[in-house]
Amino acid sequence: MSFADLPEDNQRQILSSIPCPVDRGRMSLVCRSWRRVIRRHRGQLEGRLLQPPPPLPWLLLRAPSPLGLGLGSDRAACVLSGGRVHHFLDVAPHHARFFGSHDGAWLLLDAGFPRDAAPRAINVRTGVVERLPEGLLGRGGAPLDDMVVHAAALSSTPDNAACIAAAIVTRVDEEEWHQRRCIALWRKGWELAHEHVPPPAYDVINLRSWICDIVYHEGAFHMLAQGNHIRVCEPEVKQEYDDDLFVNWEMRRFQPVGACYDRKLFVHDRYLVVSRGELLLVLRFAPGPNQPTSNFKLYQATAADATNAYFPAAQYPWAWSELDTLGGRMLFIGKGCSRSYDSDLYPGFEAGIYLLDDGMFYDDAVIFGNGDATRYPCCDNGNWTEDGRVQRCFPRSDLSDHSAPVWLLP
Amino acid sequence: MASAGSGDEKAAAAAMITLISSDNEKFEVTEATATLSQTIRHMIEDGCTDGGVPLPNVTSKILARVIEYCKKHATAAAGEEGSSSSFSDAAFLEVDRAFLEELEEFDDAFLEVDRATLFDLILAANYLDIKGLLNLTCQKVADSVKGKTPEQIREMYNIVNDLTPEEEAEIRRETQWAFE
Repeated sequence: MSFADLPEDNQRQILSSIPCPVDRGRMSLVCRSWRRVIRRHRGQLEGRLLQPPPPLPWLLLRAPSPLGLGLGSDRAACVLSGGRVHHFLDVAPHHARFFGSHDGAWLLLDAGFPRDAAPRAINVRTGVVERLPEGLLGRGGAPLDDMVVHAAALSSTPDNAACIAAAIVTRVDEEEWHQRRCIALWRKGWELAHEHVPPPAYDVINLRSWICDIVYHEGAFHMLAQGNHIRVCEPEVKQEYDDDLFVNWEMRRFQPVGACYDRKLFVHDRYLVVSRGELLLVLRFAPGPNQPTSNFKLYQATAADATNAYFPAAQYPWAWSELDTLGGRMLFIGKGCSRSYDSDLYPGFEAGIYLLDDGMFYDDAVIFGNGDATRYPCCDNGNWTEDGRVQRCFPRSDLSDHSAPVWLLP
Repeated sequence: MASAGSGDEKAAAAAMITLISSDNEKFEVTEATATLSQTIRHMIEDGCTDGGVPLPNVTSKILARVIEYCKKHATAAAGEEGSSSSFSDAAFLEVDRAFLEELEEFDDAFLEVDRATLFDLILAANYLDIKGLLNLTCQKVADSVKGKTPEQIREMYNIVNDLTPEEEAEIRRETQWAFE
């Protein structure tokens, strides 16, 4: 007596609790009779013109410390499979730091500083590697500098000839060793990224060094600046200038959401995510610095409140309006690679915000290895649900010498 | 024997039903316990339970387990009705929660069975149409497979791999992430 001998109804019920395509694929590989069951079930779905929903992201946990060769030691934990570890991957170079990801199983890696291998995009499924720029060309043709990428968003998959990337980077030159953060853009195949500077906005604090997240949305990079204003950066390739990259900047000023902050909570981090065609702001709260995440708030970009006398709509035409509920969304938040899914498509799953421990993504002491804090904490991962709790649904993880966790978008 | 739909709740609660397993063992259960099974409920409604209910598809070993489940959950159902009709103050909610936790613990312990028994329970729950038991047992099978490699699944269920290397290669092509 086994799964394959059960009545079809029962098989269907069991399979409906196994939504993950990897789990199902592995069931097909057990034996012939199991394969027949999975096939028949898939055939019935296709017969009813039902497409399986897109797979949800996996949490990729870098190996805590260097291991021997050939052994996959990076754990990929799957939300659809209840947070279980699906794969032990071997993403080389082993000491490289993840700084982002893209749909189709692409991971973005930087091999540390000082660098002994070029930054790269790796497709974990196919093994294809795309080189990424190693250096930065400053504005006005300034000499070549080294750079460290903190987060990046891509206009398309990295193997696409039209792919353009925008990144939050720290520019590193010999005289000016640290704390020179800027925005870099590059096209596929470029050996150097180009520094791009948004036009000054004198009425708000220096925005350039305070971009904390990037998403690509409707043909433009949207950058979250201090004060929750948005810098829109629309790239344009000009053929008459040797296919060089030009940028149209737009500044969207938002009325502050400060009144909505709970004074007892500390804003741990801020993210942008595109959901149902709209741009959302996610605030992540903790009871204090260096404490685990305890709460979230979600905001939608709307027209400014015309009655606000302190921040008149003429100067601040936008506002963030708080959403009371997640509205059935499952949000996966990560710098440069946040994604939104609809829980309706995933029976047995509820709305929630999946979080990972990217607390150190900006921390130069960690990234440059100066100071004692040279390890990445990897424990603040989980799922925040609307009842206000964070479920620690992923495997526990130790500190990693190499990288914070990242979402793998299969 | 109280006939179905009499509306006389006290009589219904006291009424006993005899269930007869495939190996001819008889089990006396209350109607409240028996009617967790939709199949038996319909038989009671049709008035055809005199002289016992023969269940030719269920062995005494499995029937005993099914009855154990139904007894516990019938009490739970009665408890729920009781509390919903009374005050919904904090004390009652507290009792409810404690009871639900107890029920969950019972379910967890109930599922600690060997694989063969688990599948027999699914078949019995299916035949007797006991939704809660069917959900519980199907979920258990699903959870046992999740996150496992094909080899681990084979070991768990004592399955011999009869796929040819060609077939395996084909499946791997169909399912891009099934490596290892």
